[in-house]
Amino acid sequence: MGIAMNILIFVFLIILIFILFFALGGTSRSRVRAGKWSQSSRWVKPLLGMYGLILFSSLILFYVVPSVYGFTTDGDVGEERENYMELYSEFYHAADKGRLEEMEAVHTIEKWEFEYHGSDIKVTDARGEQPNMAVWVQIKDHEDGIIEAAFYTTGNVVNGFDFTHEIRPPIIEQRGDRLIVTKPEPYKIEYFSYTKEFTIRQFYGPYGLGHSSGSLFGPDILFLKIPKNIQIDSDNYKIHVIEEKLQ
Amino acid sequence: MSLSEMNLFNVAKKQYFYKLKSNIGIFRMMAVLQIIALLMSFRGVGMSSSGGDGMMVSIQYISADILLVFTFIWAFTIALSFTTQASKNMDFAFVSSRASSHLSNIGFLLTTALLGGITAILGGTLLKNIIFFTGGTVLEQTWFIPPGEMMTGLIAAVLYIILIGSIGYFIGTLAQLHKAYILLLPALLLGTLFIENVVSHNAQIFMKTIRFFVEERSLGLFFIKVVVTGIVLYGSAIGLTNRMEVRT
Repeated sequence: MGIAMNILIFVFLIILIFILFFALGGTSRSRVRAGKWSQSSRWVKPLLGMYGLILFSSLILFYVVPSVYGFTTDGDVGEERENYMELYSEFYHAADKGRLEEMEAVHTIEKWEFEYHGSDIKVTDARGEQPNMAVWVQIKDHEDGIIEAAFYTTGNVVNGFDFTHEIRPPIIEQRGDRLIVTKPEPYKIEYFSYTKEFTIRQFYGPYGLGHSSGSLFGPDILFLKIPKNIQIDSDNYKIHVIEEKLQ
Repeated sequence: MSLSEMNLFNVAKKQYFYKLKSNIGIFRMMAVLQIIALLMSFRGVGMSSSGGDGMMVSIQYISADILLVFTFIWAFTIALSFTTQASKNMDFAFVSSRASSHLSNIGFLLTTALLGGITAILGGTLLKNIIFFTGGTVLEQTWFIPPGEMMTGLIAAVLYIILIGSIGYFIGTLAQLHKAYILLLPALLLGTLFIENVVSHNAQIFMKTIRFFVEERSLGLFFIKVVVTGIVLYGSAIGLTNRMEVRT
């Protein structure tokens, strides 16, 4: 924090203290009449009592809510997945082998099936863009007339919290000899994170005034399984055809 | 009845209750300040935002930190105001000594610390409940605070207010000794902050003093530090005013 900011905060605090000090000076004049509860205190006491009651009720509610709403205390995945680069490498390796669903850390966000009896299909981006989503294709060893699609990811983790459930999959539609992929519009999700007060953090951590930061938006893959008689290509997407044939 | 006929603590006790009754407005001010702090806390004490592949995640951090800071400021100004002449004049409603006046003031300030600390921490639970019940999406795993930790936070908040109160009382007493201190003390603090920042880009004395308390990881040691500092500061304030003239 710069010197200017330090001084600004300090000056703000001094001003606030002066305001409060003079406000208290005003109340001190009424102290002369004191010794017994003053007129104004007659409604101050019930108000303070109500304030205390609200605060106390809040405390009870605070401890009741998690059990009523079934909150879990786990979900912090920061420690579980320390080596993300290794995970991503395993993810692509599993995709190359057609074994993504065997990986525990991989999330299946959505699955589709399309009946298709043509000989060629083109994967097209609905907006004609060059998306960074990868498309893996596995050729079936038979001709069942079904194109299977699935959207996989390793998940999104922000500040140690898993936001994989918030991932919106693309929309996949089959129109004629095209498989049209529409990626969702950029979207924003807002969460509140309840942090412990600094008088708690001082003794139990995390120490300091900052909050843990670091985000990992894992890679995602659109995985297609196509009958062996269908030829596939794309104008926008880079197609990875894997060698492993699907039994 | 002369003072010698009355026990010092009995007089102090009477003065304490007298002050408690006549200063009830101080707690109204505390509630108002805490509600203002509560409103300011709805936007969070911090925010982080990150995104990738079309998804943007924004996290707002909620805690009672602003409530605590406002309560600290409130406690500091009360301690200051209790050293003013207007406040001292209240003591003459009683047959009292300077010692009984100080004792009743300290008792009152300890009461404000207790109430301020408890309400500030409980205000945090109120804030969190309001956000949840007004439709805020909360990371549920961040909700729970073990009762033991909550109690520690509450005790620490009370101790901080005791510490700040004793600092305020000491500074206020100095200011009563000579009006020049009213300007001198903030100037000294600001000057130290400024010079240290210019010389070393780090306010060392200021920061070391703060770190002495805020980096203490044991509640027991923190308690000892605060109590010893409080005794020294309150003791010094009593010692400094001992030779001041007594109003008759």
